[in-house]
This record gives sequence, structure tokens and C-alpha cells, in this order.
Amino acid sequence: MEDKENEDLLQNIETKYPLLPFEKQIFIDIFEKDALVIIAKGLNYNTVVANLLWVHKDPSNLVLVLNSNDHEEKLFTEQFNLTVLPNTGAEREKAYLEGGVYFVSTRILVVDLLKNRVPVANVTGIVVLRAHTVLESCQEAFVLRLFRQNNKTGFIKAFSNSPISFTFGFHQVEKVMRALFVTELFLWPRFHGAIIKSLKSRQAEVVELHVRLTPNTSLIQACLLEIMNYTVKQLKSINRTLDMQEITSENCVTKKFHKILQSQLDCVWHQLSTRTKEYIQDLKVLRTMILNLIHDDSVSFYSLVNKYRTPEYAQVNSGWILLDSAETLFRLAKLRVFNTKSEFDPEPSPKWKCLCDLLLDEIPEEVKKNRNGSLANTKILILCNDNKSCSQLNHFLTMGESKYLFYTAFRKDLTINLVASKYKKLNKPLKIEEKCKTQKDLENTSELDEEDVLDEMNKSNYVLTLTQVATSDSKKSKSKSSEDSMFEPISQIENLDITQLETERPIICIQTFKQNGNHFSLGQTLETLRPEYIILYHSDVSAVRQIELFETKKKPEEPKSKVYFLIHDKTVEEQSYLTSLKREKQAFELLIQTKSVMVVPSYQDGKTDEYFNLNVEEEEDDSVDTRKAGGQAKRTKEKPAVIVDMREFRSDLPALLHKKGINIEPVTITIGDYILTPDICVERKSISDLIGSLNSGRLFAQCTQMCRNYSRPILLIEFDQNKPFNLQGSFVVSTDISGDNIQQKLQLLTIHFPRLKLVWSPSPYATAELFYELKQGKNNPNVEEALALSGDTTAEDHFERYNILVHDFVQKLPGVTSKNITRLMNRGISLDHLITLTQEQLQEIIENKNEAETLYSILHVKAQPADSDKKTFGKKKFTGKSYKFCK
Amino acid sequence: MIRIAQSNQRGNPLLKFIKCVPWEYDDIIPDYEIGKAISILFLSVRYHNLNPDYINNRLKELGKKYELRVLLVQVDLKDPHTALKNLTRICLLTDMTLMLAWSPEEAAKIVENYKIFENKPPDKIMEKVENDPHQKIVNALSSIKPVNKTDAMTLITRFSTLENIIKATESQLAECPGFGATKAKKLYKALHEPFLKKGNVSKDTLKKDEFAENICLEDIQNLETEIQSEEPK
Repeated sequence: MEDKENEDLLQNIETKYPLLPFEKQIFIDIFEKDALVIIAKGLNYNTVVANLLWVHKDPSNLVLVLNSNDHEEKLFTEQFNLTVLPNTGAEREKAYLEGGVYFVSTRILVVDLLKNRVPVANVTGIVVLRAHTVLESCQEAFVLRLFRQNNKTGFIKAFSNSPISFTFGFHQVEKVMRALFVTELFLWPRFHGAIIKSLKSRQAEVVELHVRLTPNTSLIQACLLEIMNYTVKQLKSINRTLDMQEITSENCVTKKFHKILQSQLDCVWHQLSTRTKEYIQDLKVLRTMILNLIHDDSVSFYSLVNKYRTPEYAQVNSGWILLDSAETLFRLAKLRVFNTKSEFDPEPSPKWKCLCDLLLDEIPEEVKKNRNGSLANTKILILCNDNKSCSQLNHFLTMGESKYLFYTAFRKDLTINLVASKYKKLNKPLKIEEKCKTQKDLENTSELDEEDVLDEMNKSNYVLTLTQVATSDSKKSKSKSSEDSMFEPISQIENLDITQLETERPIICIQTFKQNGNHFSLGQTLETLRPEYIILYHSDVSAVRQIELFETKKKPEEPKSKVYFLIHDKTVEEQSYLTSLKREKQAFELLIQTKSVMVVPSYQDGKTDEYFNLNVEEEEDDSVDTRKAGGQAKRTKEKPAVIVDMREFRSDLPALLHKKGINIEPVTITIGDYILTPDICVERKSISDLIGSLNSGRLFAQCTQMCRNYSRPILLIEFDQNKPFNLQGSFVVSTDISGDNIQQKLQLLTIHFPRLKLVWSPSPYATAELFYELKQGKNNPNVEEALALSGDTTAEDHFERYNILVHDFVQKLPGVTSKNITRLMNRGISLDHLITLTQEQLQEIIENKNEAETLYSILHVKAQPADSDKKTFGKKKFTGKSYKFCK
Repeated sequence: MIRIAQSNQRGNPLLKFIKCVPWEYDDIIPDYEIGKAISILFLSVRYHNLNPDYINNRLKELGKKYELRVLLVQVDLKDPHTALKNLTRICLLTDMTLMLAWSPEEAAKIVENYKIFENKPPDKIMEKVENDPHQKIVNALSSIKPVNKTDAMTLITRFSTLENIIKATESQLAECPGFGATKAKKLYKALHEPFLKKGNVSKDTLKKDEFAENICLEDIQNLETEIQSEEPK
């Protein structure tokens, strides 16, 4: 009964943009409550969001959209004709007051909120997109806190379509929901009843075509997998303490591998040994190889593999190249391009033939059957993974198989001595071309070529058409298909309006799943092109679902689309498709499980004061009106305040400090990260940053600056809160290097900056607490002063014996070392004096003959003429490299 | 030679691990004296929890006698955070540098390192510099705030030697392409200031007094009582 009522209700609701029944359900859910919606990949939330924004698009409302990516922003801005926020603070303030819907970058919003530019109490609500990236640590969470603290009625609605992101970490969903101040969680997996029902109502016809790999290819694949397994094993054996659950050879072949690596290793990157980094680098190389093997032709694969068969690579490589499987790999890769008589005879990609058959025979025949033989206006969409495959297919279809392979070999600079018989014919015209090219200025052509190639790589859609319509004699065309091109490109104008194209011939459009990372590109193409036939040259979960959605949304009188699914049987391609399906399913199951046992405290929505009272340390006397006092100028003086560098908003400390009831002054400062009081300046470093900046020398420079300008400089060393504090004593993660080196450097730093205080903090929470205690009873820092110090006038510094400007200058001169600088400074009086001295007199001061000589010559001998400059600049790069090899 | 306080440190397990540098027992105020400028006080968190007054008295004794005063804390408790937070505050108030070690071996390493690096220049932690002299001059000139790399090149081509650049007048500098009056002024000022600051010595002593005021030992005692009163909770 209830269900039926529900359905009636759903049908009665009219929306601006048409929604499917399940989308309507999502819309109603999210409209009524503040919630987090997690939707399966590919079932985009943009129509729901569009409806939501349309409802609120009115000058009397102020709705802010957070965390959108460029494509989303562009899509909605165009759809609703939104105004973009102005750049200056004052103008933004006015814009907020005018109301409407705005897409705001979070960093700007944080600053505006802290500076009271946003009429917080009047904000109607906030929509958060890509909610999986919101965490307590991030600025989005900080924005929402600031918003919720002062606005108890506005709505917060969050969307995400990456369920997998919520499975990393501990209690991720709960954390995100807490950060978002929402109490409800709605899950919409693909296997949700309503979605299945909606999508089942009208389904496209699907033909799965399983294509066999050639024997050599599958052997190569086996080799690569073996090498990958070996590398992963090695990697794990030297990094036992590291959590590397997600780094498996199965995951190596999925699309998300880079993301997985990043999430697991980014926070400890500098703590890894060079060997570990080599292994990771190699995994990436192997991954590109295996993807190239499946997606690209034999010639490009051979040239790719050849790149790694050099002695230079063997030196930087972690050792897989010495394995037996590697040898087999090289041999087989060559076999695919050259036949046993070492003639050039590359094997074509098996999918090509399949594609040709489809385009030339099957589809035309079908069209003939169904639509009385007119091929006109038949639209075919070919979808593939990346721009490279797009251009590959384009070339293949326009040039024909053998010409294309030969062309690739030519482009990749393969040396070909003998050519198999069927290529002989092709050889001649190309040879002539080659000669023409060599005659031209070599440098010029190579540059142009590169540009051409780059251009090609950036292009992500091609439009072709069949030239020889296979209506008359399909057999004849089939015999020709492998040699002659049957397709010709239609002039490729940017933003070509496909609907306007009126041709007598069928249109073939080749496109990637996502154009330059734009999730909506496929949906838009489907809407505008409305193809009758879709060929999935590669497989992608999200694309499949978008096609399903497109099909369901079609009007009833439109013909059904036919989808061809080209997939290699029993390969990593199939595996990676299945893995991504499985991972998403598991993620949803986990989320459903979590949802069923989740306890959400009633105050989590932040609409009562209860939530903030739990978290903000109350000041004894004015606890009653802290909230009111926030905006008033008189009171703020009494509240503790801290100056925070803008760049520090990437970390969670500012938000935590704010939680503690400390006011935050966001300012761009060059010295230090936090200024607590007029004398205390803090530079915050995570362990990984600490190691990085000690090695690069940046920390030394930062400490010099801090010590010159503040009486109490502090170096805050912050440990990762998720790791045990005591284990980190050894600084490094990998077992094959030791942390001694870093310990020594840190001690050296303390020797040279005796006034620099070290603070060891186990987590940002502890840091916030410590800052709070340090602030008690102390003056607030002055923003103007901090800013003045950041400028070029290095203020009155009482902490140096020497004038800094000239000290820094002399320090950098050749012949001056950290040992003799003190003597030189004490006895040299000034630069004017130094240049009057003879070499012997200099030697007396410096007490070293060689150094005095260098210094003397630099002062008096003409520096190298200007034309040698270029050489030194060029050399700079090379010296760096050769130095590495020497080591 | 590291001098080690006989009365306090005899029997400390870390002594076993000092192998790379020679040491001897002596009667000194800090626990370890690395040289004239560096001293170390040793404290284990466990001991501190039992005798919170101990470190107070030691700090009072030590005063400001050495330039770098290190408080070497051996973390030998599972949950050292409250103790560490208090020690951090004490260190900030008394101008001590806090170093942490998780085992006697590590603590010994730290003591050894201080001796080894006592007189080492900071080259190891400074930015790597080019060896080419020409590049070095460009770097040196561009380290003066408004001057960039191109300006430095211009200066070198125009005046050819550093001597001539230094001898050039402000207006000559201003004539260079890319230079304005302000840039020339700043460069001229930087090149012609005396190395030593005027009245440096008097300021130094003044500064020390300021510090002495800041770090009042009563403060520490207050802190300690505060901590003690907190602990029963």
C-alpha cells in the first residue's frame, strides 16, 4: 500500500528538469532533510543538483555551492546563467548581500567567513559536491563549522559519487557526516531496487563480443604480471610497518592505482628509502606497459618496451630487468613486430578486425533490414579509454591497418631493414616522404612533429564518415577493408554542432569516456548526438551506466540503441573491469552495514548550542554571550587570536584551534606558519616535511628568518595522529635506511639556532591544546606587524650582530665559507673596505690562502662574459644528473 | 671530551652506548657538558612523573650558563603525552631545547652527535650552491631583496667586476636597464652598510636582561604546583 502511495506521490511531483523515478526519490529525500547522498559511479547527481539549485535560484535566497570542480561549475553556471563572484573582498561582500546561487572556492569562503564578509545568518544553505573529499581536516569542514555556528536554520546538502573513497580510513563515513553536520545518509548503489526498476523499464540491446588475445600477447601479459608480483613482494618486504593492503598486483591494473598509491604513501613519502621509491616507480612503469599492451598496437608496445632495455635504465631500475621473465618479455615484444626472418611484419590488434566488421558489415546490414536501406543519418559512437586510443583508432580507420602500423613504426624511429611482402607496396610512397622530410631543416620538422603529436594527444573526439557505402556489395568492401581506407574525417571544427550535420552518409564519432576529466562530457555527447549504435572499444563502469541512463530517458517513440561491448577475454582488461565493479559493490555493502549500526547523536546537526558547547572551551566570564560577541569589535580584543598563514589552511590545525575558541586571523605571511603572541612564531612541520626541508635547506632559511624577527621561534614537529607516537622515533618507514642522518641534521640545526625551541606534538589535537595553553594571559599578535615583517623591510632585528643584508650577500660569494664568515665580518669593516685590500691582506683576515685567492679574484677580476652565461645555464641541468650517477 | 656529572649520571644505562667519543666523570652542574657552549640535562619521563620537582631544581641550578641548553628526555612510558606537554611548556619558559629519545641507545646517539657536530658548519643543512663562480655572483647579487637574476646579469655585464659594482654610485646603478630609483637605493644601501652593527654590544646586554625578566623561576614553580594539583583528577 505504502509503496503505491509513494509512487503516486512521485508521479505528481513536477520538476524543472525531467527526473527518473529514482532520481525523484533522491530529490525528495535531499530536499526534506540535511543529508549526505552517495550515488553509484556513472549515475550522475547533476540533474538532482540542477533541480535543487533551480528551486533556490532567487535573489531572496543565498545558496553557496562548495567543492565543485571546474567542469561542474561550468556546467551549472551555463545552465543557470549564474554570476561569478568578484575578486576583491569588498565586491564579494556586496555580491553575497545580493543573494542568489554562487559557486565559491573554499579557501575564499573561509577567509570571507573569518573576516565577517558573509552575512552568515542570512545564508539559505550550502550544497557540498564531491563530499568524499570533505574531512575534518579540510577547509570544507571548517567552512561548515563557521556556518553552522552562526546559522542554525540553513540547510546543508552533500553529494558524492565515489563510494570507494569512504572505505579508506577508520569510520570515514561517520567522520565525513560529522564534518558536514548532517544526520542522514542515503545510499544509492546500482543494485538499489528503485534504480534497477527505473533502468529496467527500457534497456538497450547489448551484444558482448569477446575477442581473443594473440598467443604472444597473452604470454607477455603473464610475464608482466609475474614481474609485478615480484616487485610488490619486494616492496612489502622492506616496508613491513607500512600499511600496504591496497598495493597488490590486482590493484596495479585498475585505473585508481595512482590514487591508491597517493592515499597510502603521500603522508610518509620523505620517510621512504630510495629503494622503495624505485620499486614504486617500477610498478608505475609496469602498469603503463600492461595497459599499453592491451590498448595499443604491437609497434608502439615494442618501442615502449625498448626504451627500458637500455643500460641507463638498468642502473636506476630496482632489478626486475634482470629477471628471466623480463628477457622473455623483450623477446616476445620483438616477435610481435618482426617475423622469424626479422622482417617487419607486425601483428594487428585483434580488436581492429572486430571493429571493422562491425562498422562495415553488421551495422549497415542491420540498418538495411530495419530502415529500408538508407544509411543516412545513422550515428555511431565509439568510446575508448584515453586520447591516445582515440587518435589510434582515428588513424587506423582513416589510413587502414598496415599503413597505420608502418606509419607508427616510422614515427617511433624504429629501424627497419627488411619488410614483409605485404608491406613492400607501402614502402615506396613512405620512403619518398621520408626523403622529403630529411631534406627539410631537421630541427624545424622535429619541432613541428612534436607539436603535431601533442595536438593529437590533446584531442579527444573525432568525427568520421564512411566514404564507400557498403550498400552495393558488402563482400567487395570486406576484401578491401584491410588495405584501403573507407573512412574520411569530417572537418574537425571545435565545438562542432553534430545535430546540424546533414550528410548522406553515416557519422562515426570517436570519443573518450571523459574529456579531460570532465564527467559530464559523455552525457552531453549522448544527449546531442543521440547515436543509434554505440561501440565500447574499452570498458568503463561509469560509461556503461551513463548509457543505461541515456537509454531510459529516451522518449518512447525513439528507436532503441544497440550497444556493442568489445572486450578481451580472460585478460587484465576484463579483470580490471570486474575489479572496479567488485570494489564498488563491496564499498556499498560496507556502507550499508555501517549505516545500519551507525549511531548519530541528535546534536550532530549543530542546530542546537549543545554541539558547540561540547567542543568550545568556555571562557568563564563571558560564556553567555560569546556567540553574540563574535562579531563585535570590542569583545574580540579579549578573545585570544592567532595569526595563521593562508597556506596553512590545508592542514587541520586552524580548524581545531577555532574549535578551542581561538580566533583565527588568516593572512599571507612569509615568516613562520602561526604567530601566537608578539614574540612567539611557530613553523609547523610534519615528519615528512621535516625530512624534506632539512635535506633541501629550506628549513635552515626559514629558521634564519624566524630567529631574526622573533624572540621565541618555535619549530613544531607534528607526528601523524594515526601512527603510534613511539614507533616514529626512528623517523623513517623503510627498514633499509636509517633515521640517524635526520637526527644529526636536526641536532645540527639546534646547535646553530640555540634560541630555536623544538616542540614535539603527537597530533594536531595536542598541538591545538598546547597553543591554547601558550595563549593564556598573553597578548594577541599584531597583524600589521606580521605583515610588515613579511615585506621587504626586515624590521629592527635585535638578534643579529651583523647587518643582515650585507651579511647574506657576502656569505654567498665564492671563497666565503661558513667557517671564515665570522672572521671576515668582524675584521672586514665593510665591502668598501674589502675592495681596497690586497690579496695578502685578505689572506690575513681569512687565514686561508686558497679561499682568499678566490675571494680576491671574484672582487677584482672580470666575471665571465655574458655569452658564456647560456652555457652555464645549460650545464646546470647536466651537472645535476652526472652528479647523481657519480654517487 | 664530554664531561659527565658524576653524582647524577653514574649508572645511567645510556653511558654504555657512548662509544664514538671519549668521556670522563667530573663535577659539573649540567648532566653532560659537550663544550663551552652546549650542555645537556637528562630526564626520563617515568622519573619525572614520580619526582616532578626534580627538574625544577636542576633548571634553577643551571640558569643560563650555556648558550645551548638541551633537555634530553627519554620517553619510557606508554602514554607520555601529559608529561611531555608539561615539559614542553617548561622548556619554552626556561629557554631549553627539547630533544626526545625512545631508548638509551637513541639518547646516547644524541649525546654523541652533539659532540661530533659541536663545531661543524651548517653546510649540511643549507641550500646546495653552485660551484661556478659566475653563477655564485649572480646568486649573491639576487639575494638582495629587489634584485632578480636578470638584474644581476645586467649589473655584471655593465660593470664587469664586483669591485666596480661596489664603487658605482647610486645614480649609476639607477641608470641600468630594469633598475629604478628605489631598487638602486636598496642595492646601494645593502652594499655599503658596515658589517657590524653600531652599538651592538650595549644592545646585547640589554637583550639579555629582557630575557632574564621573562623567565621567572617562580613561573615554573607555579606551573609545577598547577600540574600537581591537576594530576589527582
